[in-house]
Formats: sequence, C-alpha cells, structure tokens
Amino acid sequence: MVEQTRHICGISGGKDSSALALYLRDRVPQMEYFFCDTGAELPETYEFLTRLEVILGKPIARLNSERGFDHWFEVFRGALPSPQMRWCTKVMKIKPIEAWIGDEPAVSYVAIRADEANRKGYVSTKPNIESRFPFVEDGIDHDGVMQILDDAGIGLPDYYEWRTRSGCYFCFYQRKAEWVGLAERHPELYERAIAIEQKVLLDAGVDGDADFSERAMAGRQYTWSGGETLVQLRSRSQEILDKHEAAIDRIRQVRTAIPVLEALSDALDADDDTDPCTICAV
Amino acid sequence: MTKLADVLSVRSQFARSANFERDADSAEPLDGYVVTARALDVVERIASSALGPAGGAWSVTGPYGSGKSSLGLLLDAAFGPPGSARDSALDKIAEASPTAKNQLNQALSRHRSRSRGFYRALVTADREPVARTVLRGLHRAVTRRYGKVPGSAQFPASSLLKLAQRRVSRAEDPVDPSVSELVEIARCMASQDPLLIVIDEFGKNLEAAGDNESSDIYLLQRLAEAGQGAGLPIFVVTLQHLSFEEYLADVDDRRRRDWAKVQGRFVDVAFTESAPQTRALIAQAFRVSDEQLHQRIDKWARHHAKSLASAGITDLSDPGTIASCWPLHPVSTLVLPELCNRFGQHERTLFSFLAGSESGTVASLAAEIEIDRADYVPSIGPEAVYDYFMATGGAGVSAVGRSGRWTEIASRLRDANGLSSAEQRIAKTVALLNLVSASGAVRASAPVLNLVDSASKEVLTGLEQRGLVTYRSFADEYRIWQGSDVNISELLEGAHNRVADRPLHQVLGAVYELEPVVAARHSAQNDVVRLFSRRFAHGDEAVVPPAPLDPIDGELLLVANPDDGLPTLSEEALRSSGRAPDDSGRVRRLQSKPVVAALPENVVALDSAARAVAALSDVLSAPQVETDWVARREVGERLALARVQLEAAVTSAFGTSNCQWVLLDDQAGIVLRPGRGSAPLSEAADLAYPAAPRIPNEMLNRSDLTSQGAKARRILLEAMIEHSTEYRLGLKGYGPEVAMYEAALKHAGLHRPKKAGGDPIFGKPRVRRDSKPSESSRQIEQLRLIPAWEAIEEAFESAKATRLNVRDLYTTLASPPYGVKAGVIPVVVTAALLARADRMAIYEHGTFQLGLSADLSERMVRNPEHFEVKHFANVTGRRRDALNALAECFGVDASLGDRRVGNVLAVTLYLASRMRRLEQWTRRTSHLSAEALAVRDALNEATEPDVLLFELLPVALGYEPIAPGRKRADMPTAGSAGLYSSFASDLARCIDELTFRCRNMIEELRDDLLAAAGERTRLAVSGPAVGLVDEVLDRDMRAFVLALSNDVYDDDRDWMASIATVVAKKAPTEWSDDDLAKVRAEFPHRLNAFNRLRALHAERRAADGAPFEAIRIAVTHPTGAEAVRLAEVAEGETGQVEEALDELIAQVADWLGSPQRAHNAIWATLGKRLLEHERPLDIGPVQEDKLPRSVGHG
Repeated sequence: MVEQTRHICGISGGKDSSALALYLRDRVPQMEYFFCDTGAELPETYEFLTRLEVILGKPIARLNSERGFDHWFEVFRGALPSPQMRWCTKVMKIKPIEAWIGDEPAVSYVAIRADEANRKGYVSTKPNIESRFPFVEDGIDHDGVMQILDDAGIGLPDYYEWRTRSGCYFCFYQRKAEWVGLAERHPELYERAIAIEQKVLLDAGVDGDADFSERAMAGRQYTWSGGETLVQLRSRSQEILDKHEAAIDRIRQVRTAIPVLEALSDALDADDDTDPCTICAV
Repeated sequence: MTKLADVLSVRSQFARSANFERDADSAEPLDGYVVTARALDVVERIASSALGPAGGAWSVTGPYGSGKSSLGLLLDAAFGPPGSARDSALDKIAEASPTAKNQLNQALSRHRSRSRGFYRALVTADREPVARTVLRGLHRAVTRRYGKVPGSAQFPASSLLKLAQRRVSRAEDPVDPSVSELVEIARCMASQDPLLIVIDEFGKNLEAAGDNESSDIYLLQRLAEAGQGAGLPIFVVTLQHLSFEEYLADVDDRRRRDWAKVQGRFVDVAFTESAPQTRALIAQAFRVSDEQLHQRIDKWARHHAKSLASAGITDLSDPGTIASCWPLHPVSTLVLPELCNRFGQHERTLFSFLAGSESGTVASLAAEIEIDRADYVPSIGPEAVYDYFMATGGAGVSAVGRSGRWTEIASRLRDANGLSSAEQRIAKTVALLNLVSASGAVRASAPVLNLVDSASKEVLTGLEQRGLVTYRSFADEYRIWQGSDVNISELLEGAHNRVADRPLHQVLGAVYELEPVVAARHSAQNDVVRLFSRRFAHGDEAVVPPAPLDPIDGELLLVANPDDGLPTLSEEALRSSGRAPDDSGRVRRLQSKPVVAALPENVVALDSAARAVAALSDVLSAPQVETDWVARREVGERLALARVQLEAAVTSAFGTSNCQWVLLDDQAGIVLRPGRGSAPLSEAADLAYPAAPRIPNEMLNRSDLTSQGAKARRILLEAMIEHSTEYRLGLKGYGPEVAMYEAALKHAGLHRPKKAGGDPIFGKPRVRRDSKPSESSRQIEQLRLIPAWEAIEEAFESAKATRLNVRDLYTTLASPPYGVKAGVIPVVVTAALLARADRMAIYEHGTFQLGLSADLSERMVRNPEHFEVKHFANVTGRRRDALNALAECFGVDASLGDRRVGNVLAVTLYLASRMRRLEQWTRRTSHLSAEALAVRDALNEATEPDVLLFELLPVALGYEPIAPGRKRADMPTAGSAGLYSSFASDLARCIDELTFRCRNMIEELRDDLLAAAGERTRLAVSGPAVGLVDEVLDRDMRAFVLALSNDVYDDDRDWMASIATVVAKKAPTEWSDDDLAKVRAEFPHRLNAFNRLRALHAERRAADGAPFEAIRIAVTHPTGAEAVRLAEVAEGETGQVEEALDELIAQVADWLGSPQRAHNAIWATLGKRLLEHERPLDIGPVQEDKLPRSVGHG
C-alpha cells in the first residue's frame, strides 16, 4: 500500500492561522485542519472556529476535546500550570498534536507571515513531518492576511478588541491589561480564573465545585499574574487601564496612522515583556 | 658507648611510589620491594589460574600507598622475559612463598612462554574511555616485545593495531577503537603467548564512564569473558582505590547495574593489610645484629606480653612478635597500623617512620639511644610516634594536618605548659590511643597505660587535676580533656529527673524511630506486600486502626508498659467491625485493618536505655551545651553510645519470642503464635485478609504505583474501556500493561468469552466446580478475585435507592477481608463497571455522565470521591412497559444479563447523545413546536435518568407521569401499550424535530435567498456572481459576492451557511434568533445591491460589444426614484413564458379593450412592483481597471 502523505494545517483561533486555512482552501483540497482544544478557550474563539468551519466548508478536527484543562486540573489534583511547570502546553497541545499526526508522512503548513519570518512557531521535530511556510513563500504579509480575511467575509475573532492572542482565558502569559479585559468582557470567566488560582474548579457538576485547595501544595499561593492575585489585580484595574491607554497614546504619537490592532499589540508588549507560549499563539 | 644504631639495621624500603611507565623497563623495578601477604595472595591467584589453559579477571581494590602499583610491577617482571628482572621477582616471591614461585615457573612452561614471557600490557589509566587505555596497553605490550609493531607475518593483527593506534592519536577528530577491534587484537596476542593486562588507576576509567554514556564498559566484560572458561589465556587485572560502585555513585541506576554486571565477571580482591600483617611487615624491617641483646629483648618481650594479655589485648600477646618489632615499644607497635591507615598513607607512612632519615624516625632516633645498660631495654615509645606524626603532619606527608580530631588533641597538648617528661609521655600515649581507638581493648585504660609507665596512676592523677585528662567511668577510658565550663553531670542529672516522670512509650516515641515492617511469610505466600507500621503504645490506649485507603496494611503496637493491660480498639473502629465467626469459630471477622499489640515480658533494660538517650538528647539541646563545642562533643559521643545500647534493648525487649502477640478485636483479642521474625504479623494478615486477591504482578499489586506502573495501568484501563471485546483488549507486545492484563484480568477470569469461541467480555469469573476442574478454573480459584468481585456486585445492587460514592467502594475493597491493593482497585472496579454498563449510571460531581470513557476513568483513578454510581436495571410494571416502548421506538437494543430488554440507562444515553449533537442555535431557538420546546427543557433540566424518562418527558408531552409499581388495574394491557407507544413516538418526533431544525432553517434561508433573487437554482445566482468578483471594492459587498460565487461546496446548505455566515459575521449554528431575524431582513437589500451590480456590469459589457442575452429594464417614478433590473429568459423557458404572456395579454385585453392597453397596463404594474421592492443601496463604484489588491480597513 502506498502511504498517503497527509496535509495538515493547525488553527490557533488567531488571525494568521485562520487566514492561512482560507488561503489554502482551494490550493490544497485534501487539507486536514485541526485545532487543539484546551476546553478553556474564550467563547469568541469557539464562535470564530465555527465561523471558519462554515466558510472552509470542512470540519476542523478538535483535538483533545475529551481531555481539556478541567480534566487535567482534576487529574493533577489542582496543581496549576506555570511558566516553570508548563504542563498545559505538553498535555493539551504537543501530545495531542503528535498523537493525531501519528507516524505517517505529513506536510504541516505553518502560519508565519512574510513580515515575521524570524518568529518561531510550533515546528514539529518528528521526522515524518515536513513544515511549509506558504505566507513566507508567497510573500504574504500582515496586509495580505487582512485581505484574505476580508474577502472571506469572516473578519477577525471578536477577542481582538481587547486581547492579542487566542488561548486559555486564564493564560498566565496574558498581560495585566488583558486580564482587565477579561474581567470586563467575561466577568464569569474571570471569577473562574480567580477560583482556579485558589485551586478550585467552579461548578464542576451539579454538586458544585471541585476543591483541591487542601490537597498537594496546600498553602502555597500561586498567582496567575506576577506579584498579585487576580482579586488584587481587579481592584486596581483602572490604574492598569490608564497605563495601558497611555502606552497606546505614546505609540500613536511616535507612528501615526497605524491600525488599532497593532497599537494594542505594541502597547501590551510595552506592558511587560514575557514571551508568550509560541505553541498556543501560532 | 654503644648506640642502638650500631646494632640495628632498618630495611629502607617496603615499596616506593611506583609508576608503570617509568619503572617497568628500568634495571631494578623491584629494588627494595617486600612481597606482602596480600600481594602474594594476588600472585598466587593468577599463577594458579595460569596453570590451566584459560585466563581470568581480577579487580584489586586497596587504598593509596598500599603497594598496588608495585604489585603490578611485580607481576610484570614475574611474567616477563628471562632476565634479571624476572629472576629478582621470582626470588622475592620465593622468599614469601616457595610454592608460589614454583607455580609461576610451571605456568610459564605450561604456555611455552619461558623464553619470551607473556605479553604484558601494563598501563596507567587516565580519565578516558577504557578502550583508549587498553589500546595503549596492548600497543605497548607489542612494542615491548618487538621494538615496534611488526608486520602481519609475525603479528596477524598488525594492521588492525596500527590503524586503531593512528585513529586514536590523530590530532583532529580522534576515534576510539571499537570493542570488537580490541578483542580481536587481544585474541591475536593471546593465541601466540598469554596476555597479561594490568590497568593501574583504573578508577579514572570508571570516573570517565560515569561522566558520559559509553558502551565500552562491555570491553572489559568481553576481555574477561574471552579469558574465562575454555577461552584464551587472557589475564586482566585492574587496580583501583575504591570499589566500582563507589566510583559510579553519581551515575544513574541503569548504568550502575550495567557496571555491576561487568564487575561480576571479575574476582574481587581486597588489597588491605590487617594489623597483624602490618606488624609482620614491621618485624621484617628490623635486623638486630647483637646476639646478646637478643636475649635481653626476649625477656623484655615476655614481660610485656604477659601484661598485654592481662589487659585483654590478645592481638599482641605473642612475645615473638613483640620481640621482632623491637626497638618499638609494644604500645607503639599496637597503635602504628591503625594510625598509618587512618592518618597516613598506609605502608608508605609506616616505612617513612621506620626507615626515613629525617629527624624523629626510628632510624634517626636509633643514633641517640644507648643500649649499654644490661638491666634495661630501651624502646621507642608512643610519645615518639606521636611526635613523628605531629612533625610530619604539617608537611603534608600524612593526613594528620587535615584531621580535625588530631588538631584538637594536638592543640590541647601544646597549650598545656610545664608538663614533666613522664606527664608528657603519658599524655601523648593517651592522645594516640584516643585517636586510634573506636572501642574494644585498645583504649587508654589503666592497664595499657601501665605498660608505658609503671607509675602511670600517679601521673594520671596529676594530669586529671590539671584538667588535661579526664576519666570516663562508663567507658573505662582516659581521655584528653579539652576543658569546658559546662557541668555535664549536673545537667544530666536534671535531665534524668525531667525524663523520669514521662510515660515510657512517650519517651521511646521521641527518641527511637520505628520503620514499618513487612509481614514476610504472608506476603510471600499471597504475592502481595503487607506492610505494618510500628509505634510505641501504652497498655490502656484506645487505638484507631489505619484508614482503609492508607497504604499501610496494619499497625504493630509495641506496648512499652504492658502492666497497664492490653490496648483496645476505639469505639469507632468497633462500630464498623463485623462479628461473624469463621469456620473455626476462633476468629471474629475484622472490618478494620489489623492492629497487633506486642507485650514484652521485661522492659527494665529498655526503660533505662530509653531514658538515658532522652536525657542525653535533652542535655545536647541545652543552650550552654549548644554553644560549647567540647561539651557538645562529649555529650554527643555519650549519646551515640547510649543509642547503640537502646537499639539492643529494643531488639531484645520486642524480640519475637520475648513478647506476647495479640491481634486486637472487640473482645479479649486473638493471641498469635510467636514463631520467628514477623510471623505474628503474617498470622494477623492471614486472619485479616482471607479474601484478598493474589495478583502475581508486582508492578500493579501494590499501594503506590511507580510512574512506569501508573503509565502501564493507564494504558490498560484505556484499552479496557475502548477495546473491551477484543482479544487481549487489543494490546500488543509484551509491555507491562500486557503483564497486568494477564495477571489481573485474563488469568483471574474477569475477561473471558461469553460463550466458547465468542468475543471476550468483562464479567464475573466463572469456575467449573465439577469433579475435574480445568486448568483455567484452578487458576481462577488461585488468583481469588471472586470475593472482591462479589463485594462490588453487592455494593452495586445496594445502590438502587441512593447513589454509591466510588470512594466508599474503594474503601470496602481496601478493607478486610479483601485488602485489595490501591493499584489493583481501579482495574477491578473498571471491569465491574464495564460488565454492568447496562445498569450502572455514573455521576461525576453529581452530574450524570454518558458512560465510562477513558478520560473519565483517568479522573476516577485520581479522585474516586468525585464519582458516584447508581443501579438502574430493574424497573417493573408500568415503567417497564413504557421503557420497552421507548427502546423499541428508538431502536435501542440493550441486553440485561441474557434478556433483551430496554433499560433506563440505554434509553437515557441514547437521548443524551442525540442532545449532545444539537447546535447552539437549536439549543436556544424558539422556532420550535411547543412539544419540542418542552422536551428540550426537560432534557436540559434532568439530573436523574428515571426522573427524566418517567416524569419530565411524559409531562412535557402532555402525558401523566409514569409512576412506579404495578399496571393500573383499570387500564387494559392493550390500552397501556398503546398509550406508551404514542408517548414514545411523540418523543421521537420531537427529538427528530430538534435534530433537523437547524438544517431546515438553513434550507429555509436558501429558499428565501433564491426567491429574493428571483431565481430557482443556486447556479443561477452563483454563476453571475463569479463574473463580478473582481469588480467590487466595498468590503462587505465583496465578501458577499465572493460567498455567492463560491463553488467549493457540494451541498446547497453548505453554500447557504457560508453566505449566512458572511452576512451575520457568525455561523448559523451559533446564532441566536435575533441573528436569524437580522439576516432575513438583510437578504433583500444585499440581493438588490447585487442585482444592480449585475445590471451595471452587464451594461458596461454590452457597451463593449460583448455578447449579451439579458435586457436592462429601467423604471423611473415621478418622484425621481429609479429602479434598474437586468432581465433574461432562459432559452428553454421562452416558449412557456411567451405562451403564458400571450394568454395574460389576451385576458387583460378582453377587460381593457385592446392588446396595446393591456401591454401598457402590464408594463406599468411590473414597473411599480419593481420600484416597491427596490430601495436605493450603496454599491461600490465599478472600477474600470483591475482592482488593486489592498483594501483599507480600520
């Protein structure tokens, strides 16, 4: 039997990978799309994925949907992921992807744009996977990506109004202003994040919460965002927003006529400089 | 005046620091060497082995300076070619043992090597791979014989050796020789003459092996193997300071095991000299030439021998030894071996002291000592030894300078000014004895000190008064006393008083740590480790047994005050205990884990030892002691001794036969037979866990799984759930999960074919109890999983009215009489849940789950307390009829046992899985029939399957709730069946409505769209749209046109959904009803805009003269409003349309009077309609040229 080479395209829920999927829709008809579902994505992301699925006319395989964050939170009994112990990326992204790809030869299409050719995405180290970068090859930059999305009539995921990346709602790589955004847009998710910070999963079932605060590492206060609890962070949200606005203004003064999205992104980068999780974001 | 030096000759050398590369080929490699007993031992081993055809391998381990390198040189010379070196080596060996020399000569003859000698690969290792070292050795062995590497005629492996040598020594990218190359070279040599490989400093190879992963450890194994059995005469000797393991202390387990295997090929030889052997070496060093003096010495020696014997020092009570070690004083002879080993470099230091020329050595002192006095035999006493070690300490010759203990004593003696020479002598002797003694007879006791000075008692009193020496009565020993202001005895007395009032078990608990013990016999017999924790208890204690899910299987109470009686089980523990007597009537059944009390006969020694340790510990932590290092060390040493005594007292008091052993129960307890070791605990485990499964899998059948074990069990559980009916659960290979499967499921009979030849399923183990049980039945009986399985079934059966928490099930299984280990429980429970999947509902955090899935199982293993199960199989009467109607209607085919009946779970799971697939829109929309809405709400609200099926759903559909119990008497059977089947079909209709509602909605949208476009087919809309794609600039309009034109979709619905998504900026499945309404309202506007666009476009193309079939109709209203439409009639439809139009015109003409008026009227009416439907809309300007690709946004 001749082995069939698979063509795969990972979708993060962000604009670049979505544009790539649309770009390749007619070019690689046998394409398989996948999305690594952490079960803790923003509602906007899920909504956007269905939108994309309809336009693509093909399903996007949801990897891992049975074992999302809540599952692992219970399996690890409330031990939370952190930049030092990033089990989230390992068990919810890398492992499911590698299991789904398997050992057949496959071509993986990665959404690195021509104007960010130096950026690192998740490029598999498995020998059966060949990575391709169509946007780099075809010189498609930020404007090109926006054109693709506009033509498809799909627009941007709604979270771009307040956040620059897809990923878990409680992602510890999000910036303080993004946390404030979460608190404003999704107060219920913010409450969940507060609870998880205290090792409690809200509304795990009709019986109520799954509480691990007395289990392993009891008494060790972990904070999602550096230096303060989410409760403390929310209490000074105005201060954070003011700083954030000031940063946007500064950037606007330096360069005029730049798109909102870019200004938001730059301002958040000025906020702090922790590197995000590249696997989740590309 | 005769000096000692005149009559005494001291042999100057034992062995100097030797070096293979430097000394091996020197003229006199063994000059001054003495063959020691242990060197002879190695020579003899090799020589006797060389008498046979094959070789052998030895690893010689000994400390620095013990003459290992010299041994290597000795072997090298002894097995070398004829010449003075070999003669000298053989002579030296003959001195020690003539037999050994004979053996060596025979060995040389045996291998016909007398004229050439062996190949001798003598090499010193560096921190490098073994292969490199061995290659260097082999190369050297060859060149030593031939002067260079000869041609292959003389030496067949010549080119191999040259090549390997070249590759390893090239400057760039050197490559080490491979194992097989080296073995090949070695074999080639050994086939000519025996090959002796001696690797000195082999520890460096080992360190290098620890640094990096390398396979060349097998080289040694291969070489050793080549020389063993019927192999070639290859002799491998490695010399190192520490054992293999110690070099590899930092290396991971796997590699240590690899090395242990390699070391297993070697015969270990410990290269250390015992004290008597060292003394024999001393004796050999001295020669006294004066015969008359000999007699005086002998007499002197006899006198001292007697004193030593009476002091209990049997080691040195032979007058001959004492005499031959003269001029050393016997006490000097006594301490020197230990002193050299501990504070020096062994014999190297010893011989420096005996023969060195610097001041303070025996040789230099001999020049000062007069020996003329006939009544007095002078000797070199311990004070001289002390002085010598003091003097050389700073020079780095010995380890004295680095010894804290030595420094402390030395500084104390140095600071004590004004001592008389007698006092100095005794003080220094005490110091030396303190330094070398650990325990035993060699210590600074009064009799030993009397040997040095018969008046020592008075001297010691003086020293004691000066505070320089203290007498410790508990050890019968004098000590150099560093001096301290702390009054230890006073502190100790206070501490003793404080400790005296505390109960013994508390005192013991604080000072003596008890490790858990294994019930050995029981564990071995039952393939499981039963562990008992231990603690000290008192007689009248109420005991809480270990918790069921605690990894400990039982508790052993060491009762410290048995006079108070027997501990009892606490009220709580008793309440949960059953009372069923077993067959013998002797045992009452226990439901809590076993607690055994050991009641000792005698605790007097234990009491005093424990209180002594407690008091000393107390003193040690007193503030004044903590800050005074002298007192701290004094107390520390006493504490160490007291601990040793306590250890002995505990072992003795709680020795198996010194106690009464009682298994606690609700009455007087069960007396256990003492037996040996942990026998009483095994008996207790026998009694407590008679129904425990015997799972012969060590990885699974334990309390805490290793990470490997946990992984294997996870794979097993997943396979159980996802491949339950496959052979071996679809597991392949021989991994640990397969072993677990075989042990816990297959052989135990839990996973077996339902009927012969069928697919396997999970179920209760079946045993044929007829006269000839089969092998598999025997095995099933043996593994004894049936009792635990029955316990689970019983628990399931009892979970009909209320849910059963899975943790409680775990608790039952972990408790007596089952005692199933935590590793096994999830496997057995999962098997039972799968076997009963048709009747056990699973809840997580109280929420009903769609059956046992792999992810759910993963969570259940970790947090069983989050899960509950409930039994739903047996419904009777009306409910059963209703259920059967539902099952039939939905085609749900669930079997229960062997009967085929619908059941609550199967139907509920069917409904739940249909619900799960509903789109978001369908879950929210109100565009549903009232019944479907009600059914949807019922399905969303329900938390209990039976409530859903028999209460919520009937009510939602306008039926009475179906109460449990018998059929209503007033309702004939046929009538009730009709009622239930109409309920079922109503429900099915609603479920279908829900399932297809979203699909239908999209179809409705498509119809709307086509109607608004005035077209019948998708192609009629998408075709024209294709031509417009590049003409539109407006962003939204462009996306709309692109969506219309898109032909990637096979299905109209997909096409429609994508258009709807573009218009709503949201997928239809995610819509709310508001979104739907908005899209419906939006369609006509979009289509009008699209039509005008088409019109303008067509106009333009018409102007360009392109072929064109449609006509453009423009209608202008008096207000100035204008409507433009492009109209066309398809070829095939022209005739029909014309016909209909003619008819219409004729009809209208009849009313209005003329065809002309009819034409006008129809024009006007169509025109008005066109205006009504058309509203002006912004459409982007049509571009003349090709559109640029960039589109602004912001």
